[in-house]
Amino acid sequence: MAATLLLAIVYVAFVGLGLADGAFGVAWPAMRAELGAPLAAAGAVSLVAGACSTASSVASGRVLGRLGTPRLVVLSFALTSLALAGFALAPAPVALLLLAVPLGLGGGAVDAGLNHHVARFYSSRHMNWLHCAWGLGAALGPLILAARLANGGWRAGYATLSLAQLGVTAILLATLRLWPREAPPARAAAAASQARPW
Amino acid sequence: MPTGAEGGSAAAKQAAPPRLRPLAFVVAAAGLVLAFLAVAPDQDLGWNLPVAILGYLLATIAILDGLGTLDGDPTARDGGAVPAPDPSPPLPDTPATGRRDATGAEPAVAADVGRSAEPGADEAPVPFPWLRLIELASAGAGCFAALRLAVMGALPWPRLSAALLVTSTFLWVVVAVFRVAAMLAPGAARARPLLRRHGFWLIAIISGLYLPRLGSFTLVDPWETHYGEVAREMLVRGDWITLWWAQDGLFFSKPPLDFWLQGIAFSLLGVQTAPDRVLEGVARGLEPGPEWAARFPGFLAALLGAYLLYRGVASAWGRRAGLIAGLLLATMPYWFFLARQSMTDMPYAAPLAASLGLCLIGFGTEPEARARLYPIRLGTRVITPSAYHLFAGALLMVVLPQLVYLASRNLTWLFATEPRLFFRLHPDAFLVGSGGHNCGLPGNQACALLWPRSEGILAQPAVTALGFAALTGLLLAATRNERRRQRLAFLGAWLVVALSVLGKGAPGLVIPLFTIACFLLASGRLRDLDRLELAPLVLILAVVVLPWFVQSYLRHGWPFLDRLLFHDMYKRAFVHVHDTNAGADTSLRYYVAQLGYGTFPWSGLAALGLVSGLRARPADGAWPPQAAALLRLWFVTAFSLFTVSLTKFHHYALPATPPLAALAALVVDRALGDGRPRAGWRRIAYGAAALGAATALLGAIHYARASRLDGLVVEGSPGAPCWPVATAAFALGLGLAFALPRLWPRADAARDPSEDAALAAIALLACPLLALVGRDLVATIGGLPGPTRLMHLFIYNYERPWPPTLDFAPALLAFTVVATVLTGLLIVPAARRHAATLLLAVGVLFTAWSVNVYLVAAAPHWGQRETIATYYRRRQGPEEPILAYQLNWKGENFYTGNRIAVFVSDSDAFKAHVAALRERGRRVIFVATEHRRVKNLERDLGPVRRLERLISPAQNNKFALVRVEL
Repeated sequence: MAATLLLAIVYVAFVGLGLADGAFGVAWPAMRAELGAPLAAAGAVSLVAGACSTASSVASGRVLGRLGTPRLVVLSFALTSLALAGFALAPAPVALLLLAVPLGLGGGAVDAGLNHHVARFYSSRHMNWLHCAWGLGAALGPLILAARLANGGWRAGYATLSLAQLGVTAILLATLRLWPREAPPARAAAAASQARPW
Repeated sequence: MPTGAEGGSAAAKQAAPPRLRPLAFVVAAAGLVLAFLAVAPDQDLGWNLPVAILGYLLATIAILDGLGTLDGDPTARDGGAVPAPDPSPPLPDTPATGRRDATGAEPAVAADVGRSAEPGADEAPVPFPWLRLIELASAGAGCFAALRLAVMGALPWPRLSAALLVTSTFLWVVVAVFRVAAMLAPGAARARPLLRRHGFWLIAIISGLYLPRLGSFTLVDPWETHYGEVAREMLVRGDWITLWWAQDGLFFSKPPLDFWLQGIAFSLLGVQTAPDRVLEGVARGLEPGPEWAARFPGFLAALLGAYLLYRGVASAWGRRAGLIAGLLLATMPYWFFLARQSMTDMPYAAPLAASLGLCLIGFGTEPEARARLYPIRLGTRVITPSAYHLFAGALLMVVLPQLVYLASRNLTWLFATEPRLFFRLHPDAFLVGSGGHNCGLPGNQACALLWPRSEGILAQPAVTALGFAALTGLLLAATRNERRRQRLAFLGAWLVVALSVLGKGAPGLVIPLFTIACFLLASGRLRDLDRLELAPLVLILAVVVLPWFVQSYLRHGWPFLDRLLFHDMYKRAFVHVHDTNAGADTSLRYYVAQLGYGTFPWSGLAALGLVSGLRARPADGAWPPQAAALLRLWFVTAFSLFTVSLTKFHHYALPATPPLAALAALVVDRALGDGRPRAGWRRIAYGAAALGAATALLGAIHYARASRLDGLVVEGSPGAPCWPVATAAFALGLGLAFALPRLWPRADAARDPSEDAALAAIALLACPLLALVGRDLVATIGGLPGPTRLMHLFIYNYERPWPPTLDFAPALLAFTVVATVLTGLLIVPAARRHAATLLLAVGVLFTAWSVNVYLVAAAPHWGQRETIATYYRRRQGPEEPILAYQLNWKGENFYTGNRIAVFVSDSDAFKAHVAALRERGRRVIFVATEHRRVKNLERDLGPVRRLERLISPAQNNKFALVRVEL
């Protein structure tokens, strides 16, 4: 039961993980108009976020070893939620560049952490579906932002995404005890033993 | 250097002066330069205030380090930074014993600010808590982001999400502060973890009650919008000394603390203060919440006041009594309503409550007991912060911004004018007229740049800043060796007293000083006069209060003093000035009645707690009975001051509530008896059952009268009684109430019969008193609907009609009946502790209902947020202006950012303005007015294409908005 519940939570987390990924492109035209940024600045923000994501993915092994997957995932979601709230409040383009750092670090770490957990405890079938859930989030993010652009503006859009990420953080925080520590749950271990690479 | 006439202990006299650290002063200078650069620009750059705060923080820490105060106990200096052991016993959960020491002083049961002395507390230096500080910074960032998003109104489901986010992140900050403290004092944290700390529960309960809907309803006219508008103009005019607003012009009536706090909150939390911007976001689908920023400082002040009252009462009677005192204060209508009103009253009453708490600690502490040091290893150094640093740090954070700001009045960094980025040295000058390029609107004073009345080099702000800086240096030099808990408590008390004076003027000084003088005389403790730190009191008042007063006098001369000191302080006290009590009885019974309503449902116990001599448990002559005398004197002073004053408003009696709450808490504490429910699930179950029983019983009575819980009157009725629900709720409530004795069985067999009798007598007398107060709140007496009396505790015009669309009498009847019955049950020894617990639950539920249902439903009829928001929703753009017609409240100014032409009584000017708009091709205008003046408006407008009322009396029974097609 606990393993199933945890799996459902991981699905929700993957949806949350995807939310912010496609949103920036939708919001950027409105953002640059209000903040007075050149069109090309979007590249710089994406570059910083991407570089930080890569860096945190590279370092994820060590961090996972120190913190463990559940705590890393909770911290990373909290970080991305704060960063998205910062996007909603950004007074200038330079703030976006600064906020791209925690956004990238959090996104990269949570990506690595969740993938590590699923690869270790669940079958590759779940990995496929979980990435489908990420895709669902990546599709929902721009939709949410577009809806809020029409009613409140891009800041309201990022505030909504931040709130959604915070909701995921709260769910993860409330269910920290469900996460396996050393040995995988019996069902998950059995499933893992039957997993085949594809 | 010891302070006070006594000169301190021998140890203090022999103390070597702390080693000065010149490098730290260089850092302090850098911090001050940073702050100066942030406040000197001639325009708001968005980052000014946060950078300035960072500079002040840096300078404060560096100054304290530079003075050598972080290098251990100066009286135990032996070349190292070894802290003195803490000699005091722990603060008791249960009452103090009241022993006297050899010197005749009281036992050292008091806690200093920030002290958590516990047996086994660690004395060894701890590592610097970097990680914990990062966690605290994250929590602060989260809370800050939540508040900014709430102010911006960008969150989905804005009221619900703001309520959840702000409350949860604020509690996260509280928890993070504890975790930092736990790193500094691991022994104390182990001995009493967070969830066993009474102070934490007090903060959590108050935050949970006050925060969720703090900013989700309109600012109430006229006080909140008036003071909010002064703060808004202060920001857009860039002048924090000369206060100005549209309807009065120069505003000298109140000292500046409330406006400064609101200004800081507006700036940090991103309120759009420019003209036409405050609520403009509603046109883009946002729900701007400037109310969050306006009220948050008042909430913090109320929280701090209640917390320090808890500490004070706990130092004399134990933590449980302290917790109950804080809880009672927080659940009194005076306190919780004014904590949600951005008026000048909470910024002056909360420091008074804090000073009362600190005085209780000070008088109850053994004179030579030393404050605990918290040694922290920082690289190769060991630093030792203590309660002294809390006092000195707070002092510097209050004084430095004033001094740096004064200095910046003579040297401006040019951003808006040429030559850009250069500095311009100039004599002081100030602007009158509305800021943000908002000059020329009817109803506004013409804009002008004026020169101060006092000229010459000595009248320049930068020069006066130097003088106050010298006084601050003297104060710091005089107190930097002070580590005695008693002295630090008094120093802290004087700092908050100074803030209180800066909040509302003379009463902030008169109440505490007169009370303390009477107390010393009455209790025969004149020897304590030497320990009161009176010389530092004078210096603290000088450096905290005087900079603004002196500079305002130098700018405006006699009219400033005449208005503030003579008209708004002296004349309000001794001449009948400017109140709305025509025909009302303003004799002794005026505040007796208001205190009855303002302390409901504790009115009966508060009155009896005041006059009873209960709590004689410790030996006669011990500190607790004297502390009770101090509380009584404090109340009598405050009550007398406001009763003698000829000018009266209902909310003036607010400073009398903290001692009342503390005295009532002593009764409730004794009613609870000794011991507590056994550990574990029983405690949680007991609390939950009490809360459930109280809720069910209240619901039962409410549903027996009306079915609607929100108080709305639909089709002339608040809903027919619903007897099945009432019966079921009653049965559930009784069932839960009868379960209480099983969860907390009676254990205190050896009860004191005299205390039993006293408690029974108190309950017997309190019961009818409470019933009388409740009757006034429920029934219509003299044409005044009872529920109006709660609103009258904080509004201006007591003649305003109660909205016929609201009926809260059933809810108030339920609270009255349940609270009265429970107070009556205190007579029965076997039921006493459970009745007391249920009363506490009723108090909490009454507060939750009052601030989340009553106030949120009633406030829209006393405010203009929805009126002005409707204007922004409906207008096509700024080319469709808004006018105020025969309207002299203040919401029209605040919510439009003063982009409104105001015509209070001049019909000809109004007609001329409308004609001019017609000539300029304006086709649509909006007019804010009162419903009863719409007929006059139609007459003065003459023939128009269309006139549409956009706000109905059901939405707002006072203010109307009319759309006019010319």
